[in-house]
Amino acid sequence: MLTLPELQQKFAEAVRGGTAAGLPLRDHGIPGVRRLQVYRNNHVSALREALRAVYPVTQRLVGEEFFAAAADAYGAANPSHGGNIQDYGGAFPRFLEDYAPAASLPYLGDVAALEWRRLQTAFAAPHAPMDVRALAEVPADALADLRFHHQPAARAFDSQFPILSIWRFCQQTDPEGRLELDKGSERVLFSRKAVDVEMRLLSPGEYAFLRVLCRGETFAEACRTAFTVERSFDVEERFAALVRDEILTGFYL
Amino acid sequence: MTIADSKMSGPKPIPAQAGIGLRGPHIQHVLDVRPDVAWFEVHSENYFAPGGRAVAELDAIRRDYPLSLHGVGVSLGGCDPLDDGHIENLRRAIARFVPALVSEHLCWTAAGTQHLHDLLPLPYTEEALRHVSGRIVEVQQRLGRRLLIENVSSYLEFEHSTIPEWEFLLEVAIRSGCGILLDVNNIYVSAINHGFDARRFIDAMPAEAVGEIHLAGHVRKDIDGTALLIDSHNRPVTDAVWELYAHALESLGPKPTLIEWDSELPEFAMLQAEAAKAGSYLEARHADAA
Repeated sequence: MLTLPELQQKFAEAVRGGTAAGLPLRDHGIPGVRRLQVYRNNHVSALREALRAVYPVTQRLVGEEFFAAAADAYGAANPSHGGNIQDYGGAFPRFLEDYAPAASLPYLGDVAALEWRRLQTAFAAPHAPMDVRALAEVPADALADLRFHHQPAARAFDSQFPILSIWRFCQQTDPEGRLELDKGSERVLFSRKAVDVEMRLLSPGEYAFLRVLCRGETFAEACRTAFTVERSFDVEERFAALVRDEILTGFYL
Repeated sequence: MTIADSKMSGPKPIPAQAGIGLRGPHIQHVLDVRPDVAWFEVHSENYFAPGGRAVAELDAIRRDYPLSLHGVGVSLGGCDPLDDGHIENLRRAIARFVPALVSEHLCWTAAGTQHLHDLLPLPYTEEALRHVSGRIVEVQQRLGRRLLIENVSSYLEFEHSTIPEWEFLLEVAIRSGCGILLDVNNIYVSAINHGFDARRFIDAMPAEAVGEIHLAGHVRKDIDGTALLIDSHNRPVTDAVWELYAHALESLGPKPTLIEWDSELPEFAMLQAEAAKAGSYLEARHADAA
């Protein structure tokens, strides 16, 4: 007789598509294997529905049927490793990049990546805005050495596709006009004030500036990097915006 | 709201009236309209996030309504080590929302770190009984509170099961000190699927152990001429389950009763109508008792 851990291991493998041979299932009017099929269906459907909930725009781009097939292929290769289904599906964007049937939609993985980041921003811990009076009291010669904290919800995403434009286009109930896919790359900043997720575009300089600051490097280092990628980068104005929008929420020496 | 504040106010107790399982698409409606509902239950895991809209909304709802947290992910009957992160998230959700009731299922959901996100049946053996009772004791200790444990719908039985499900559930409650969340629809579904007498299950339950009742809809599948019921939560409670519910109230007395609906969600009014129907059974039972 199987021990409880052995039984569960074998049962789990059978639910995930493995053989049911050797499982001690009662028939009782309906063969045990047919009964097991209910659990197989439930499992596939739970993973598929979880991905549908996280990736509605991705689904809109490919249609329900295509999405279901992609979700099932992902589910077969990527078991869930936590008891909270909201944590499932983070590797789906990367999966879509290599998913052969989606090869004609090279931006699909990035659309999914945007949706995943947007959701992480939505769920992140709250923050308080920066104490700007304290910032104003920092002596001018110490400014260059300041390092900054950012809000826990902030995420940046650098895509080679016009990813935010695509996402916004797909938000319309009856999309008007044409989706311009050759608009080039877009860098997106995700953030939150209170509970609403905001997304906006970042210029190359701003993206670089923020990335360096969020790594915990100094203001001076962030400026240097930003000017390297964008000569006309307006530090004063962009820094003020990042504070005002509560992206940067604190500082330290 | 700090934890100290919420402790001072204390949880609003769940009355022996009909509540509604609150799902995402209905939350804005509830916040806008503040409908007359005796209490709400939500899925614990949907409120594990440290911030954002969902948790802020539940903060608002629980100020006006008694709240129950109902979890699906601890895998109490599972043999993997308990997931510390998951338990900690649950503990934090309990501290934040101060629910009057916290419940989980008498089942397992993961093996070998693979989570199947389904309520999987245990073999009803002495080995499983010892294991799951011990796990419930441990989780209750770590959460610092008593849990209600729900009987699940099942679609198969294991050959080596030796204990009737109702005896197993009752013995788990005795050994672990947990309460029982009696899902009357699940009893009905399992009774048809495995050919036992649903009333016998209910009659085995001591009234003082049962803290809550669940009601939901199921669907009937035909497998080569034999019925298999699926606990689908996508339709009204069936007449047979209402009958069984009346029997449960007769045997147990009035108990907080929840209407659950999880897929193909209808308008909120439909859930209210189902809750009103449960409410009329409860009132009749309250009247009998008076």
